Amino acid sequence: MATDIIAAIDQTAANTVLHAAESALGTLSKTGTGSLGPFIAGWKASASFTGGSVALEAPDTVSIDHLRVNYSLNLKLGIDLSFLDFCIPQVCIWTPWGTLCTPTICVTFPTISVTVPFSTSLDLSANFGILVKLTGGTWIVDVVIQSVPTLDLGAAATLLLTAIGAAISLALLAVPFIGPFLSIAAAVITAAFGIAEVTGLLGSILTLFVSGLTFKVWTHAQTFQVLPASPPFTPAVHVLVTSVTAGVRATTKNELVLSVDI
Amino acid sequence: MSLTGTHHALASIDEHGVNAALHAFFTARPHYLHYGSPPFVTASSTTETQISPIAFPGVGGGISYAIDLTIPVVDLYPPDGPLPTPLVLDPGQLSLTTTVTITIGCAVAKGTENRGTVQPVSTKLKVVAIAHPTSVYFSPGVGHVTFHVDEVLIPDIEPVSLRSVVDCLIEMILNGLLSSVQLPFDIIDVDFFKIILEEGPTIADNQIELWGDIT
Amino acid sequence: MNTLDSRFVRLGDCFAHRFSAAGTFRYTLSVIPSAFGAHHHEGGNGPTVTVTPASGAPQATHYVTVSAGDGLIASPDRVTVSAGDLVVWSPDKSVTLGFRVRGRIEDQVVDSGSMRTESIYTHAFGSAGRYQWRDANGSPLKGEIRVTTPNDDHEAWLEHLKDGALVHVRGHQAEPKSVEITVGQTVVWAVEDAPGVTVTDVTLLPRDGKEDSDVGRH
Repeated sequence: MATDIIAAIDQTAANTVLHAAESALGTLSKTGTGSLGPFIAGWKASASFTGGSVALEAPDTVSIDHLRVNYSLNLKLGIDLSFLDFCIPQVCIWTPWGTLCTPTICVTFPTISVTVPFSTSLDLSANFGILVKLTGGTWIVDVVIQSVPTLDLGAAATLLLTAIGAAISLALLAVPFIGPFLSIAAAVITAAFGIAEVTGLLGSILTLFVSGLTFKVWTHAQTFQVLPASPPFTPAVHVLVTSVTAGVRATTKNELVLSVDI
Repeated sequence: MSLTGTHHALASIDEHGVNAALHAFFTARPHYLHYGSPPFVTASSTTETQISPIAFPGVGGGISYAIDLTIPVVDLYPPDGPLPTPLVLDPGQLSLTTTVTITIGCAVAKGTENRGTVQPVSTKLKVVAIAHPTSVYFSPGVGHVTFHVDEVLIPDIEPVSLRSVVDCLIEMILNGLLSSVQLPFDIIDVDFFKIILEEGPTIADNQIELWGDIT
Repeated sequence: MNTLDSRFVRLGDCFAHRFSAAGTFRYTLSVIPSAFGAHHHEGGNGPTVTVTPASGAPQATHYVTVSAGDGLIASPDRVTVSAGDLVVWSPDKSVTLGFRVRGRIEDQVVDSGSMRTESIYTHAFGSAGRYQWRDANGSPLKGEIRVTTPNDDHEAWLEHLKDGALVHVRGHQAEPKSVEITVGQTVVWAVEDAPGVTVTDVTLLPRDGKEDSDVGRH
């Protein structure tokens, strides 16, 4: 059936449209809690998306290769150091007025809060489906990720583990009486979690951003203002967009086609 | 065969879409279809446009007149049906059909019962015109398509010399009103992209087509 | 936290005094180091140390624990000692800001915030570094404590914590002027014939234009 309006772009132009949609999405932010071994990790994260190479596949798939996910993470770990609690024994020392013996003083170590800022990026490749909807008087065409691909987090997890170790070491240095226990504390803490736990936490955070990832490639009011008003005698001209379909047409070129009836 | 061809983007509007857009245009702005001098139109408004009477020596106040048109209906190449001879619709062209009503204020002669008054006298003419699209491009995504009438035919006017006069008159009137009719690029590309026009507007397969690149 | 300042006796610190003469030491516990705060509560039903004449028995040490509840509370709040005995005040974990012991026995003022004679202040050092200290009350008294990080022999270190280091203050002279210890060890200042002094980390004091000759802390 003939359509009133057709707007079609080839794969080259589709890259331009998708990159613009990535910019328009801006930076997404989320917060949550996870765990690193026995430690609770609160986190705030933000992510934005850039680049990628678009391939169009009929009838309705947009494949994006090497989409860059730029993310920043702020982890807050609460580390209970009470396992280091100890007592300073009684000190007996000669003074001019007799031997003074101090009482035994027990030192309890606090739960320290360690903040770890971390930023890096990763590349992912995924298929996106095309979704057309009319919501609240607005037509929207989205490309929506079809499934979360495997995220290659090896290098990032290693860097994050290093950053966590450095932050913990710095936080420990500020704890009074920790000096003799630094190596013990560090050993216990680093034994509590390793690369697998960090990878798991990082993966769970990034999956929240990637799952359901949607780029809005077109949005328009259902009532389309064709021409604006020009007072005093010339009102605006509107048409009503009654239906919209979108898909990929494969002929000599693969093209993303928007079909609109007014 | 791809839609975009050797370009990266295509924006096209078919015959139904053009007619829908024209219908919306003239429904919102009927003053482009109704013109008249006083007493037919006492003041310009959204529904009608006041024009000056035709000045003529001895005709006090000039010759009053009105021109009314129906919303033009467009047929993009290829034609949906035969056109009145000798009109031919070629590739890249469109035909435009409207009914024009011409009214003059006829001054009643002395000696009659209504002497000194002006009586409206009208004729309705079915008009078929051949036109072509033109475009004005300002910047990516900014521009419009408009139409220019090349030939008008009002059948059944005799003698031929009178037909020629009326054809020319109506052609001028149509081009005058069509100069205000603009189809912005963003109705044709529905704001899916900002087209950098490289080819078009062309007419084929009952569509007006624009080709180009995008930003 | 682990701040070196005898004006505020905190966890890890002690204040001690030898009561040489009989009498009743009525005192207050205060968080306010100023003299006004100390005088405000004197004469009430506060804690006391009753000093009885020397009995010939060996010197004894009596311990008073200070806790924070509805104000600062001494436990026990009534102590009876023989002349020549030591009384040691120390805080428990509930005391976060520290306290000052100030009172009078006969015509003698005993004040942990202004130590004169037969008074002792102890401090266990929790962090490594160089600590320059001086008298916050303005006398020329000063000194230095160097705190080192222990090696990895944890057991040996814990054993070493039983060893303290003594600084003997006479007038406004400290002997020795510089002491080196390990993190966790305790330094004991024994104050004798002094004009009312404190042991205070110089970083806590306003700069008075007189630069110490030694390098700064840490």
